[in-house]
Amino acid sequence: MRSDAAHLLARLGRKDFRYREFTDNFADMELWPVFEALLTDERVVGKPLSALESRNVEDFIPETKVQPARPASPPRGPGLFDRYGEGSRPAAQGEGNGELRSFLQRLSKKDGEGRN
Amino acid sequence: MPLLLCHSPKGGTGTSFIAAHLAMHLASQGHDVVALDFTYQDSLKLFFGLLPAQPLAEFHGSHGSALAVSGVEIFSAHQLAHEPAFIAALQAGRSPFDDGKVYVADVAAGDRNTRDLLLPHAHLRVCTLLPHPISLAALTKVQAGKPTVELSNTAFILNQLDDTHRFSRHAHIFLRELLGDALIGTVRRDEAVNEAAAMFEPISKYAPASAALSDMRAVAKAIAGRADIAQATDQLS
Ligand SMILES: Nc1ncnc2c1ncn2[C@@H]1O[C@H](COP(=O)(O)OP(=O)(O)O)[C@@H](O)[C@H]1O
Ligand SMILES: [Mg+2]
Repeated sequence: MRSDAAHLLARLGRKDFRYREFTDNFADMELWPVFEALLTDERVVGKPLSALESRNVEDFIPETKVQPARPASPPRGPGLFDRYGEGSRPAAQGEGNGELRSFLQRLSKKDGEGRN
Repeated sequence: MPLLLCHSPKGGTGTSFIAAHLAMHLASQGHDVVALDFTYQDSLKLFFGLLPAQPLAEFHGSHGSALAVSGVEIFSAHQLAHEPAFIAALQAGRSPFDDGKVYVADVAAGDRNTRDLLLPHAHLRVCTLLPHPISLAALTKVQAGKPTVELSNTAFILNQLDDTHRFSRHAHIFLRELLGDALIGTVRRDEAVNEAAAMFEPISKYAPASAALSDMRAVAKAIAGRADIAQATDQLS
């Protein structure tokens, strides 16, 4: 329990609160199918991905199509957000400008180069 | 002066709530603020503590006599948005919002005509989302022809955040990544919002220590910064 919460409960003389902290980081985030649908929708992220790049994206999110019938526990495991590592929050590290965005920008740049 | 356009592709996300509190916050900072309700629904005023039966003056430029609540002049602008002269003026690039006041417009989700009419005159569009899949799916519909992550003049707010709910937490993380700095802040889900409206009181009076109010202040401050609205005190000195 965080010390400020413990202090508050002590001051209130309450010992019967249920206490739970909710902190998720990227490692805990599950890639729900609705997230994947948005990440691959050009109206949201821009340029449609070429077949090659789609394959690259699937390298990052390989399991998202595996278990569509179990929305209550979307697939975990190796995924797009793995590179953030345990317990690291990009925002706290001053890189909250969207790793994802730069990832997608890299993809679309590659697309442009491919055509020129 | 600045027009802040509050619009979301999905209704019921808290657009009116955010618009009202944005206006009240800016007024508390010393700005002359005009809140324009462009919706047929006419519910913006409820977040100021007004009653459903309380009529609002129609907006016809800034020199009408409006109801002022919490330092904000509130007008109805739903009819105005359908007047040909007004539409023609805005389309010709003439802005009725150029008089030193800060304008906050509340536009209904489905009213894309009014949104498109006002957007070229807006310093910033404020788009409110909920941590619900249906609201996130509407990210595909923010602006036809322009990918959502590339909209430079749009700030997103995640409203009704509830960290005790798994999807709410994950949606927050996801949006931080997807939108980066464009996700300008979050407002927690707080029953005080509804209780205050039920009392016809502004939340600052009904529940001054509420989570939603303190979140909203932080969000409003961030929006003022993003829209480059200088502190009113700076202008005076
Ligand atoms: N942070 C919040 N916590 C709890 N209820 C909220 C919050 N924000 C908005 N609401 C409630 O949600 C409902 C929809 O808000 P409203 O501003 O009318 O949405 P919109 O204008 O997008 O249709 C209202 O009943 C409002 O009181
Ligand atoms: Mg509304």
